[in-house]
Amino acid sequence: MTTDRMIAANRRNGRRGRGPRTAAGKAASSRNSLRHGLAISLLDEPAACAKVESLAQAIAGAGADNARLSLARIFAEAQLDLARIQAVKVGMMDAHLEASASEGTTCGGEVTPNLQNDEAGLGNDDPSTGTVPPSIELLRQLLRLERYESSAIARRRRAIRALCCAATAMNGIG
Amino acid sequence: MQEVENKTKCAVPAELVSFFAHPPIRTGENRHAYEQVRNGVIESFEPGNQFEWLLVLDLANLTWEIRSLGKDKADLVSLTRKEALRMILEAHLDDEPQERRSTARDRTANYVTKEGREWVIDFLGKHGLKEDAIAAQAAALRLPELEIVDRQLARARLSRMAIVRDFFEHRVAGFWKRPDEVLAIVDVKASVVPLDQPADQSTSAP
Repeated sequence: MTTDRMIAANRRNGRRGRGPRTAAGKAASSRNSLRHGLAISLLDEPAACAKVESLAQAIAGAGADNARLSLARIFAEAQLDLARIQAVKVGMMDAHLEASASEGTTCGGEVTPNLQNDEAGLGNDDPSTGTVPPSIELLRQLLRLERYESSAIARRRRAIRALCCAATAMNGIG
Repeated sequence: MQEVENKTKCAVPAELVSFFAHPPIRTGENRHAYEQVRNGVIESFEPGNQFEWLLVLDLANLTWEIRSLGKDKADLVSLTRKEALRMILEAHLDDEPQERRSTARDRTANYVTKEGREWVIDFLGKHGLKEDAIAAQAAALRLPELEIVDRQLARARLSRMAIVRDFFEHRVAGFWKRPDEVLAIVDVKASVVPLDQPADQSTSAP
């Protein structure tokens, strides 16, 4: 049976756990479920929007008509999406490297007679970082980014095709 | 002189620099090697406008990614070699289980020395195996990871092929060349074609 003491304690605890109250706290908790932010469209962010526009202008060139500019915009958005995905991937790999380094699981300096670590010719700027192959968890996380990448590649490809068709029609080739 | 010329050729247009400020170089990877790869791709494709530059830089990034993934595969196998060797030795040694385990551990630790490696090669030879068996065992142990890396590699290669196709499709389409620009090119090319027939042919013509 619930005693008065228990009810009072429940009320006290209930008053405590009501989530963030300040604007800063609310802003912080609103990002709790944010993983990489790739599901958010670039056009939802004003800064990214300006970047898309400036890249589209650079691609379309001066004096481009509206049709060319809008296709260039689609291309630019997909291109910047790909850059964003790439940055997330590199960030995840770096975080993994950092975590591995703190756990001491790198294999720098280990002799591997049959297989050269450096056979891909990538070298290593910083010998202290050693070699950290990706873990299965990291690889699975990277795999989850594939759908964003495929979508951006498909959008960009469609834009390129449309731009090429428009150019072919305009130049009377083909 | 040649180097300076190449550097000028490979310089990313100023208006695109900010979009490529963060190349896909992971911590510890060689930035200079990346730049070499990128410049090699730029020299091969010789991008002519912003659109081509974007595609070429993407190609360079994918080329780098493919090499990084190849290195990941090598690293995955390398890091598992010790574990693989220990497992092979433990399976083939004749001692009692407890002793077998400790001998395998010691022999694995000694594998990095010249004598230790010779012993391992000799031991594997006696059981009809070669040193490659260690890498094969390591690959088998890391199969789930290697499968994912292979999938990423296949995707990167496909993307690269698609970009190359797009690049040349765009060149064929004459993308940003306006009709007057195309005609200017045609005129320049046409101007080198002699219009007068050679004398001997004109005389033999009916």
